[in-house]
Amino acid sequence: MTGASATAAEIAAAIAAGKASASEVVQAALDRIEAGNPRINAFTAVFRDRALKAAAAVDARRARGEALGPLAGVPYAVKNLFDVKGEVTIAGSKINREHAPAKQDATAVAKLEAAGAVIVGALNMGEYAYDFTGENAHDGACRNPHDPNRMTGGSSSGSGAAVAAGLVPFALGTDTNGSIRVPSSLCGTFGLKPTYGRLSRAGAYPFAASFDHIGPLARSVADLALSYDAMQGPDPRDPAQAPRPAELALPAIDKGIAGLRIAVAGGYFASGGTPETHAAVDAVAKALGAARKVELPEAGRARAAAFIITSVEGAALHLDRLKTRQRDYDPDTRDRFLAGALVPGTWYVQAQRFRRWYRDQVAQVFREVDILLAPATPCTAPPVGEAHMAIGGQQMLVRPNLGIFTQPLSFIGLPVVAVPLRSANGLPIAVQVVAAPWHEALALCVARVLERDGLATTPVAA
Amino acid sequence: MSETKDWGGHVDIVSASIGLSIDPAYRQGVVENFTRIATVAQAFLGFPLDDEAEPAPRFEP
Repeated sequence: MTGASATAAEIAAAIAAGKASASEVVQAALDRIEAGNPRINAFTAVFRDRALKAAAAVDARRARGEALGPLAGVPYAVKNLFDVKGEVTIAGSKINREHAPAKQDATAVAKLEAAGAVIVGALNMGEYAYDFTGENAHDGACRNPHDPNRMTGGSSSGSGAAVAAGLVPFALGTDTNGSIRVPSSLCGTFGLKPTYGRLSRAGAYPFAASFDHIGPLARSVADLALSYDAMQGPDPRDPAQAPRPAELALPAIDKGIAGLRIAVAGGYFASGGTPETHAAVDAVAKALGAARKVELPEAGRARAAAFIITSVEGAALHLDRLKTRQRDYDPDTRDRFLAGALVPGTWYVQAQRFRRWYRDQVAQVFREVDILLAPATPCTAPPVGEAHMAIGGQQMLVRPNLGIFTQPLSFIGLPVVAVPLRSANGLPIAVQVVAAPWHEALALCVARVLERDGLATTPVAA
Repeated sequence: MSETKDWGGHVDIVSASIGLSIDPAYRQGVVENFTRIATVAQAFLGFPLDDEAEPAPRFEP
């Protein structure tokens, strides 16, 4: 089984067993991209030569009887802010197109290659990752494979679209405020935002260093775990990486939920979305027998503090370019970057002080529970170009509000698995399965139960 | 500090003081975005924290 709907695990098993060659699997993925990409605009570059060479190398290793990695021959793609040796890392921007090609692969890309995975291309994204919609003035909007008139969500827009369309079984994204979980929700894929400091971000173009994470999007929980495990391990190139050994998740994902204390996040998370949003949380809670509700204290303030820290760190990163290249920014990010440069320093420090206070409060909550369930997005995919949406009779801006439920969690680096359901309106929507720091495996375990029971679903978009 | 406050003066003075010349065509958008930031910031700026509540010097979740 190696077609569009095949998982990475199935593809790797077929290649290891000699039922398919890596070369034919990768060629088929390249063919799918060529045929399917014009509809969704997910890929901004295809690395055909590198992919076919890497696939041939996997086949040669197998022919020699050498051991193959756990992802041997599996095609995948990366958000175009990851360095790929010899390619220009554009980070969704016009300005970075002038950069020299990357001298080496990002750590995540190198680790996936060591596991045998074959990189086939780079994916569309919101400019400099400051985006929740999937729109991009330079490369065009990325389009939702389930309905190309709708948004993918962002900023890892191409990652969500490419996986949901079955062009690749998994993709890498980054998540600062929700940029893996929002497209996972709107496109209907699983997504893993690991604990802050778990995976090396080296070679991934930064945005807001306090919150930047990398992680995979996939159509199965096992594929999330496989790719996540392959990317673990210490890397001196990322100063924020925590000094912890790798803790493999794949061996743990079938442990079930017996004994797990699962609660629904109430308060801030219990309202503010469309009926589809809250129905998805209710359905997951019911399936897991989670009757308990707990509150994350001051989650609204947490979201506000994340908003300010992001605006300041993003603006500081871009300040020199903002002085000289204003016209070259995407109009949808430019004014926000410029405004962030003008925030008083005391506001930023207060936000960072609040962040530590909030982390301590949430740590108390995780003494009582193991898993929290929360909505991922306040709505299913809005139409491309829509600036406003109505929620609970109130008009609100789409762009800043798609992340209202993701921001208070990435703010303190909690590990989250986005678990996609099919909502009553026919479009996907995800629920966030949130664990205590460093307990990615527990969140994956819960996601696996929901997948096995059929509530979580990731059909390849037609 | 609320949505009713006019942040235009702040935008003009601070941008000039840090050498960030804002294209007049973008000024209104920047003022709108700064107003949003200022409004959102009120959610935590008024929140009481002990003097000992320092930021995490090296953030660990």
